[in-house]
Parts: sequence; structure tokens; C-alpha cells
Amino acid sequence: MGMTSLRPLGTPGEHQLGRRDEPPRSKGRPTCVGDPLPETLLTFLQSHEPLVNAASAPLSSGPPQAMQLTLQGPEAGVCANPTWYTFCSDIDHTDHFAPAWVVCTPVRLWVVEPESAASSSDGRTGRGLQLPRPSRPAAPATAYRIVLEIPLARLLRLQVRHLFGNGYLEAVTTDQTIAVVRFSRSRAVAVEAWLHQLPAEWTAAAAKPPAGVANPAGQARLPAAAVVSSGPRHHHSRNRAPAAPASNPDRCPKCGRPLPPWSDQCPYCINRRQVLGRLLAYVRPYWPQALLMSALLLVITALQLVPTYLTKLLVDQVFPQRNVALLIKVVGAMLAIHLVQSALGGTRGYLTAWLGQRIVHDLRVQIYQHLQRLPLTFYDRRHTGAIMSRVTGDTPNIQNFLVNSVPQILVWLTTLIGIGLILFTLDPVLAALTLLPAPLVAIATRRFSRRVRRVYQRAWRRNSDLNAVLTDTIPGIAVVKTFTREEYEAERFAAKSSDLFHQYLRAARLENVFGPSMGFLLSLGSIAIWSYGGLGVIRGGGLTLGDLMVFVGYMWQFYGPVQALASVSAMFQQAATAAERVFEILDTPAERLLEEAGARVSPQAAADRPVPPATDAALLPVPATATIPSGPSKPASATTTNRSLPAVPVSSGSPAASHDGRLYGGTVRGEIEFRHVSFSYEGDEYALRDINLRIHAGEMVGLVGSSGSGKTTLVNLIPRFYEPTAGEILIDGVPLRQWDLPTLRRQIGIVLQEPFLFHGTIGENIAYGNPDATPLDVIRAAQAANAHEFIMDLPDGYDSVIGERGVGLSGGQRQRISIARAILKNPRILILDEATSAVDTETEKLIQEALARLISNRTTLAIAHRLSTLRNADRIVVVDNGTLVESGTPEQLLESGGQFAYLWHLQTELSRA
Amino acid sequence: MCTAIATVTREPSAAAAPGGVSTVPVWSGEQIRLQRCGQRLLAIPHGQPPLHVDRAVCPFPYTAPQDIIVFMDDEGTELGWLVELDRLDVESRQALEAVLQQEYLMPRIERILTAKEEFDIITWQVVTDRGTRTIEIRGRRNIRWIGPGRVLVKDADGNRYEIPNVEQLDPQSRDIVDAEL
Repeated sequence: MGMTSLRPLGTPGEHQLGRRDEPPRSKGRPTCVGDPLPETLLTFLQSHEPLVNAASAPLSSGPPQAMQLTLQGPEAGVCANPTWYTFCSDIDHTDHFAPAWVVCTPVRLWVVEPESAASSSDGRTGRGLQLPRPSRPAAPATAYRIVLEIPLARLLRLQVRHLFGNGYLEAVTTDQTIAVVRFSRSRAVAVEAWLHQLPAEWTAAAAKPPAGVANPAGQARLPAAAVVSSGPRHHHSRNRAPAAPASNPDRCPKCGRPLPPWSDQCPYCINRRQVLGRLLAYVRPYWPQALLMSALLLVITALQLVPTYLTKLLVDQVFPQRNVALLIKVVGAMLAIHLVQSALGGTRGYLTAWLGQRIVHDLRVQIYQHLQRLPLTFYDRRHTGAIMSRVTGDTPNIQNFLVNSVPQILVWLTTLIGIGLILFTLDPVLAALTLLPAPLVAIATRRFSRRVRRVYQRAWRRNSDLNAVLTDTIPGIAVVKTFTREEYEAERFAAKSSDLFHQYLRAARLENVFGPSMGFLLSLGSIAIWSYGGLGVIRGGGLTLGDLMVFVGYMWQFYGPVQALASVSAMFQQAATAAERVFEILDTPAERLLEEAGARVSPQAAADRPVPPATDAALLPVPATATIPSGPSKPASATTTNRSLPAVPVSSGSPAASHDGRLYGGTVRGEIEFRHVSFSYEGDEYALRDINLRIHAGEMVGLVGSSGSGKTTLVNLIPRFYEPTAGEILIDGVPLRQWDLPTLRRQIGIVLQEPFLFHGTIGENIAYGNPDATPLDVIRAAQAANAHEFIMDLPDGYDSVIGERGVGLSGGQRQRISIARAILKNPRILILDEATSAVDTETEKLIQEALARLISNRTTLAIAHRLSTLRNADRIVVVDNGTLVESGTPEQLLESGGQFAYLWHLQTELSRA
Repeated sequence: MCTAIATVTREPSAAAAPGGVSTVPVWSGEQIRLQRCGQRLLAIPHGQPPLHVDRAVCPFPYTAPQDIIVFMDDEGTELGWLVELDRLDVESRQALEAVLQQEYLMPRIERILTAKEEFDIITWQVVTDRGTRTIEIRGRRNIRWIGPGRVLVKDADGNRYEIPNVEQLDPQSRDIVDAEL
């Protein structure tokens, strides 16, 4: 047994296209699902299909002649257009980069490779493979050979194994497991997608065809559960969600190119015209100002051209004629022009700044407001720094483009057209001579700017390396000193600084080569003007000295815009990318919109809302599988077999239903129920599976389990930070979706392991959730949280400013402030997520006291690794691998000897040790 | 041999304790025999039932690939650790190397033919010991030193490539690498 029977089929020569004398046997052209087959390969494979009695064919062996049997029975006639499932890998059977095709036909699975690849001596060169992309398929070969064949009747299962640097498709057959084809990670997503394309109904209709009979549909058939994926991406196969494979988030889903490391927008796929059009809409509210600004710009530009022209009058008329009166007029005109230009320039400058700041303010506020309303899933997928850079970095980029670049481009174009017209009017030949170097200048500038950008990018990288050393070591200076690494750090910094020095020198060298070169190129233009024009002036052919002076003057004015416009494309690109990143945020649906969408999608959910009972009925335990009455008009007594769940209380403080069916305002009782709740963060693995849990109002439930078991995910579903993938959660018998989101969240207080405090005073932080609280309320809350004492020890008391994230306070102090904040919010439901795990025993005692006060009369879910902190819990629920495995009082669970008892004894032993 | 012990997955003492806490055996190379079993390994610790090893993983794949190997079952649970690899018998070592080679397919870059950079995406056309390849790298942070003269390149899809010694590259290739490091 083993792998010895796995060997190539036949000899290459026998399978080569063109060497086979027999005509193709298949009845029709197969429909290919998956990667399109090259025409030559299709023809080659068609010449081998339909083939043998599949079940009787030996696995991966036998001469080609043995496969020349035709189908028998009624199936033979209906295979006219079979479906073939095709996948192109990028690694061949010798583990070299070369295409290898997996073709799944109605009767067999083939692996086929180009003949040139398989017969190559070592495959080191000449078998290059472009990165697979829809737009860039591998070049088709002309000859192929089959390197592996598995009759489908022998195939039990196809599965993907993802390894560290690659993966492979594996076939489990009736007698062995075979590696079908290896693939790099570039094809990992594609192979998963291919596997999922294999039709489910075929895999469900798992009855194998009788020996020698193909699938009547003429399509590939795999047995039930034939498609399995494993490896690092699906670490826990039992936890795997039956979802489609995820795409590579680092590549653009449209074009397949990698996304820049600093963006999740593909710069190649941005519709620049559309994006910039949308951007210009931000100018619309201020169109009078924008129009005025543009008009001023054009006037200023026109005025800039006049003084050069006036020199012609001076040279041609004023000086030769010694005309003082005309001199005064010309000089006066020049003075007036400069005066007007300055005045208009100042006005325009202010207007530009006003307009720019106005637009960026609007945009910034809009983004920030929108960010506040975005769901947590948005933040999960992005780094905080990246989001912040969109607010602080991209909006100024957009502003710069709108108020500086766009008008400037207008000015440049106007200048070019204006100067061109003047020059061609004066002397067309000399004008042509003047403009002759323009394309050269434009091309040189474009190339240089790319090169210099690259050099500067390297310099910036070196700069960021240098900064990284600083940000590492300065905050961690105590660690550096403790480990006596001062010298090492100094050397590291010196090396980075030296790198930066050399990179800037390189940039300076480049700039100082380009600048003089361009100067020389332009001076050639002026020399040509002086040469040709000078001759014209001397010969008296109508060209005056004044004209010549005008030409030279305008030439220098002309080439500035030429150089600028040569790099305008990069300017557009930068602005479009920045705008796209901003619009991506603005286009992400906010929580409220999601909520409305949810309500729209699920009208039944609204109809399922139970009728509030007349009185606040006592809670009685119901089975976890209890069902809710199906209609709003259905009386509670109508449910015969299942108890109606206690519904929203109608006391004066209870929430009220509004016209949209949501519940607003008031206070809840605090009963929580999870009904068959499952949750997956990214759609591939479930963090929670089929959770059924009912927590009574005022009950304290401790959640226990190992790290990553799903405890925090479970509690995060209650305030709707995330939406369950399946099932529903009810508060007081009402599904979460029917609660107005702010109303819901006002009922919930959360105390985290790492309390987040804002920059501000201690008083402000405590009153964060209740801005109307009086100073007395704040102090009482702090007293209840055992925080008052240390706050009063501070010189500024409650007005002490705490730094960003509460720097300057100990972990226990910050925690007590966050408890005070929760107390002041007065929530009905309290979530404690490892609230005491980061503090010492003495502080823990203080916090425990504070929590005991806070918990009183509230529904509490407490997550704790230190089980002793849960000894007062009414109930303990043990979560393991996303499921609830134990539930009961601490005493019951200790007696039962399950996971809780195990963990309890383990911690007891550890504390003794 | 592979099918004969198909139902045995781990030694009893390695069973996971409640709460996910487990005790993992540590074997020296002389205490275990390894056999290829298809694409996987069969680990036979002396005096203990054989184990089906689904994956053999190096905890330090670049800096200490030969120091310790972790054996895992098909659910990613650790079956045991293998240390002192030099004490393995020849057959076991060959079996292990074959499986590791399969797990860590990392082509070696021998030459960089062309280099392009746009929007911080570095595109190299390279010649590797497994053929030519165009690789796209998302920013230079994916090109890093992993030892003296040794460079690791990770492309946009997570494929890893190794430059065993930058100094031994041709001048043009060396210049391209140097620009990014």
C-alpha cells in the first residue's frame, strides 16, 4: 500500500496532441466550470473522453488503450455536453512553478501538465508563470500529458490542505490518499472557490453510479461531504462554517492587483472622473465664492502676462523715441497692474483659505459623525491609525486638491493658451521654435519626478525607521536601562541615522543633476530664440527687439506650467485615492441604517413581538427551546404547549413602542435570552454555536471558559456591537432588533479589564454616561466604587486632569473610576469582562466591594478567569469552543466534577503553590 | 501500516484535560521513529502506540528550524514535541525532512530580473530554484532580514521566498534588494 501505485499515466508521446490518429470521441464540447481551459488542452482532453468503465479502471495506472471503451447504456447518449470542473494550479508535480490543470469530468479526475514543463530537465528556467489573474492567463502550451488520473467511482473525498508555504488538493480514494496537485498561496482562494463550485446536489445525491456507468447528467459527481478544507485557515474543523471561501483581503476584488499597504482601496480601479466629480459636489454649497475665486485667478493670470508685453513698448517705442510721456504711461500701467495684482492676490488668497477650510471642515465633521455611527465590525477590519489618517490626512489632501490644484491647473492651462496665442500672433516661426523643447521638457520632468519620488520615498522610509527606534526606546527607557542595552540602542540609532543621511544625499544628488540639466535645456531654447530672432532683428524682417524681448520673457513663463502639468496625473491620482478612502467611510452603512435595513428585511420579526402582559408577571423558568407566540394579536393564553415569555413591562418606566414598532425610552427589567444564537466574525469559523441561555432579571451569571472560548463574543452581542449570524437575543422577551439602539445601550453598563478613560478630568470621566449628573452624584458614585478616597488625595480632586487613557493612575484606580462611571449610568444590565484580573489582591478587594454594590439588583454577566471572584454568582455558565457546556450554581458544578470543577481545583492548587 | 492503526490518534497521557489544558510529551530524536504515511507522518514513540501526525510544524521556521518540531493532529491539537533531531535514525530523518519540505515550500530567489514600484507595491520578476515568477509585495515591510545576509520576502498572497545570501546575488539584484531593506 502507500503511495507506490501512484504513477504517471502512459508515456508522454502517446498523449501528445497531434500524435494521436483517432478522432476525438466525445459527443460535444464540454461546459467548463472554473478556470477556462486553453483550447489546445480542451482538444487534447476531448480526445480521451468519454472513457472507460470507471469502476473497473485501475487507479492511476493502465495503458491508454485501456481507456478506449465507450459508455454503454442510456447514459452514453445524454453526455452530449458534459460539465467539466477545471482548476489551474501554479505548481507542477515536480514542485516547480508551472501550470498544472485539474479536470474533473463525469467519470474521472485528471491532472494534466504542459508537455514542455513535465519533460523539462530541471525546470529552473523558461517555465515562468505569471501570477494568475483573470486578465493574465498563463500562455497556452501545445502539448500536454496526463500525470494523474483517478476514476470518480473510486473517489471518496476531495480536500484542501493549507500548509505554511503552500497547499495541496488531496483525494481520498477507496484505498489510499493521494496528493492531487500542489498550489502556492496565490491559488489558495481559487482552489477553495473551485471546490465550492462542485454542485451540492450531486454531492448530496451520493449514490454512486453502477460500475461502468457515468452520471446520467453527464456531469462530475462526488460523494456526500466530498469537499473538505483543512489546515491553518480552518484550524478547528468541527468549528468550520459551511461558508464560501474568503477572498484574499490584500488583493483588489476587481482587478486582483495587491492593495497598497496603506490603503484598502485599489488605486488602479478608482473611477477618477466619478470620484472627482463627487468631490466637486462639496464645492457646490459655496459656488459663488468658488466662482469669484476662479474669476480672480484668471484676472490675476491675465495681468501677469501684461508687464512682459509692456517691455515691448518700452524697447520698441519709448527708448528709441525718447518718449517720456509714453514712459510715464507704461510705468504707470505697470504700477497699476502690480497694485491690482497684489490686491486681487490677497483677496484671492483669503478666499482660497476660507473655501478650503470650509470644505475640509464640512468633510471632517461629516466623516467623524459617520464614524461614530459605524458598527464595531467596521473597526475590527481596520487599524485605528488608518482610520484616523483618513480624517486627519486625507481630508487636507482633498482640500489641497480642490482649492489649490484645480484652480492652479486652470491657471496653467490659461497661461499656456494665452502665451501661445500672443507668441503665434507676433511671429509663428519663432513661436514654434520657442515651443519646440516643450515635449522634451514635459517628458524629462515626468520621468525625473517619478525617479525623485522613489528616492524621496526611500528617504522617508529611512526616516520612519529612525522614528520607530525613537518611539520604541524612549517610552521603554526603563526597560532599556534595566537590561543595560543603552549602548546597543545608541548604535542602532546611529546606524539608522547614517542610512537616512546617505539616502538624503542621494536625493540631493539627483535633484542637483536634474535642476541644472533642465536649466541647460531651457537655455538652449532661449539661445535658439536669440539666434534666430536676433538675425531677424538685425536683418529687419519685421521682428523688433521688443518682440524678441517678449519672446524670451514669455518663454520662461511658458515652461513653468509645462513642467507643472507634466506631473498633474500624479496629483489627480493622489486626490482620487484620498477621496475614495474618505468616501468608503461615508458609504459604509451606519448602525441605525443597518437597524432599519434589518427591520425591513425581517418584517416577521416585528410581527413576532409578544403582547405585553397587564402586569409584571413573575418570571418562571421555561425550556430553552420555548417558542414565542406567532402573532401580535394572539393572546398569551393561546399558547398551550409553550409558556409565553415575559414581555415588556408596562410600568411608568417601561419603554414605549413608537410608530415604527421600536421601543424607546424607559427602563427594562433586565431579562436576557439567547435563542439558538450562533456567531461568526468573518464567516468562516463560528465563535459561538447554537447558544441557548436564559438569564433572569437581577440574576448574576458568571461566564467561565478558556481564552478564546467565546465568552466576550457572547456578551458583546447583547449591546449589539455585533449581530448574531443565526438565532436571536431577547431582552424582556423582545428581540434586540426591535429595541431602539440608544435605548438599548442606555440599559447596559460595561466594565472592561482595560478600562478606557478619556482625556479630561476625573469628574468628567465619571459623568461620561450621565452628563446631567450633579457633583454630588459623581462623588456618591465614586464612593460606591471605592474611588473617592484616592481621588481626594489628588491636589485637584475630581478636577484632576488625567492624561490620554488615564495615564498617571494605577490600573486599579482607573478600574474604580470606570466602575464609578458605570454606577452613575445606573444600567439594568451589567457586563463585567475580567474587571478585576489586572490588579493586586488588595485592590481587587476594593474593586470587589465596589462591584458588589454595583451588581445589586442588576442583571449581571461577569467574565472572570479568577474563579474565586464568582463565588457569589447565582449561576455559572461554562463556555468551551463557542458552546455552552455546563450551567449551574458554583456548588452544583463543583460536585458534578466537570470543567468548572477542574479549573477550580487547578486554581486552588496554583494559589497554594 | 497506515490503515492498521487508523483509529489510534494519540497516546492516552496526552489527552486534553477539561478546560483545554493539556500535557504534551516531549521526545528526543532517539526516542521515536518516524515513517511517511502518504502526505503525513506516522510517529512511533518507543514503547507507545503509534500516532498519526497530520502536520509537523517548526515553531521557529527561520531562526531555529532544526531545534524543535511540533506534531499536530488533524484538529490542530499538539500531539508532542520533537527535540534533538540529530538523534533521529536516518529513515526517520528522511521522512521528517520530506514532510517539512512539503509543509515549508519556500523557493529561493537566485536573481531579480526586473523591479517596479508603484503605490508601495513592489513587483519583482525573479528567478528562483523552482522557476521564474513575478511576485508582488505589499510594501517593504514584507522584505526583511531573518539572519546574517538572509532575507525573507513575503508576497501579497502570503507566499514566502528566501534570499539565502544577499551578498551572493548579482550586483543588479543586490542593488534592488538593498533599496528596500
